[in-house]
Amino acid sequence: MEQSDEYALIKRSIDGDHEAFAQLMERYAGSVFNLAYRMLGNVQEAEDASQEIFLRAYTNLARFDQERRFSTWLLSIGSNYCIDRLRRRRFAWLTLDDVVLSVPTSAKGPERSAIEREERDAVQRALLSLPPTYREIAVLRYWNDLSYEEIIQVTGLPESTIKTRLHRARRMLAEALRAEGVVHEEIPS
Amino acid sequence: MHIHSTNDEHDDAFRQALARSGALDPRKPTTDLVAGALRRLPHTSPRVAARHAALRQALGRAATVAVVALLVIPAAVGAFNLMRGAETPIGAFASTAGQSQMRAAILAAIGQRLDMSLVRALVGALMWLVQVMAVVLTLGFWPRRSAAAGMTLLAMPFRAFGTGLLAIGLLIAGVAALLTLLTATLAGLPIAAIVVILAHLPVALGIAAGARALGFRLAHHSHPPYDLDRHQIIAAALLALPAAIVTFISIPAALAALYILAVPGIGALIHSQGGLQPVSAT
Repeated sequence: MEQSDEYALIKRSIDGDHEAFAQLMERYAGSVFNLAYRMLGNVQEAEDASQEIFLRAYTNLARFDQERRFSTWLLSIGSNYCIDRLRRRRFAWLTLDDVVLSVPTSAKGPERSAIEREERDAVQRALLSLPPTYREIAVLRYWNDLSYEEIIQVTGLPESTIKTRLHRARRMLAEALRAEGVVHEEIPS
Repeated sequence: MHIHSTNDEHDDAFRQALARSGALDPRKPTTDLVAGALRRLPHTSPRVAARHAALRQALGRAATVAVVALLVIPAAVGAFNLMRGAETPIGAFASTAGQSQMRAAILAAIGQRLDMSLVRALVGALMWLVQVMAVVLTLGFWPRRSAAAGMTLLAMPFRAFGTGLLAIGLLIAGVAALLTLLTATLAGLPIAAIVVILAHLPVALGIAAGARALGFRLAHHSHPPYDLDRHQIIAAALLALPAAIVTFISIPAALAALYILAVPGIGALIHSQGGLQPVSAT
């Protein structure tokens, strides 16, 4: 999709055209979902978070600065939302929703198999062992493939902070991956 | 695989190492993601939706501030009244009526009424009915979370009882302190009444969790279903009996029986994080 096509879709979306916004969502569903999945750690929550991120993007679309890239703007909404959601997790029990996060069962249904697959995802486990602020930078850098400049735009943090967090995240992630058996050789310090 | 993690020069090497291990493989979004988000989009343009969202946020904040102010201001005024030794509304009322006379009159009136076995029976029956209704409603509104708490109670009954006992002790102490402050002002009296009602919500939830656990036992389920079946209703009816029976002896004792019945369920709710993370025996 050309940049001009994208701006045309944004303009139509600002006028309330849901079909145009659906096209934007189709285009960025992958990157938003992967950001949410790597930040939050499970598919179900990542889906809900991705939908919430798109809703927030739609609500704030009129304020989108067209000088910026839509992808980085969307990821900044996503990144902030995921960090907020991780903070709110400790108060999740206060919700009135009738949800159960994990049901222990000995049954081997498809749902259970999917959970076990996730549990086997050593990379995801290693990533989740990082503090959220470090995880955020690592996910944006390696999984969303953003440059330093783009990470600055997404997070609003100074470059020095980003580099420090990325360096620490890399070190912690390498250690965690080695502990999980994904990496077998000694990691240089 | 070799991962360099010392400085920015090794950024690419790190990325390549991750890629080789398959860690960077993208996860496919769920099929319903876009369709689901589309269904949730507001039916207005983003500008109007933003205005509505801002209004909702402002109203939410105002409501929070109002609730906090309603609680904090009378409590602070009450604390000030108590510190300077001013007469509290209840104290003023008691002294007007003659404290000892009033107490004796109230006790005599209550005693006279409650000595009548018919009244006691009616109060007991009413108490049983209210309990059953409250528990069944709770189970109906929160089938999953109450089931998760019930499952946790079966998995760790003694720990749940201990935790519940501690929690209800803290709740009673906290509410008593708050009520002391709130009842020291006239404006605090209706708020104190609301606090008393709200403070009983954990008790209702605890009894509901207990009923779930008992229902699972009656149905011989090791991994129970969420549905509200007859076993749950029978369990609710059985659990409501002790407090109702004790009413025949003493109403304060009936309240104490209610709190004791709620203790294990409250503990299970705490251990399962409000029924979000159940603990299984297996």
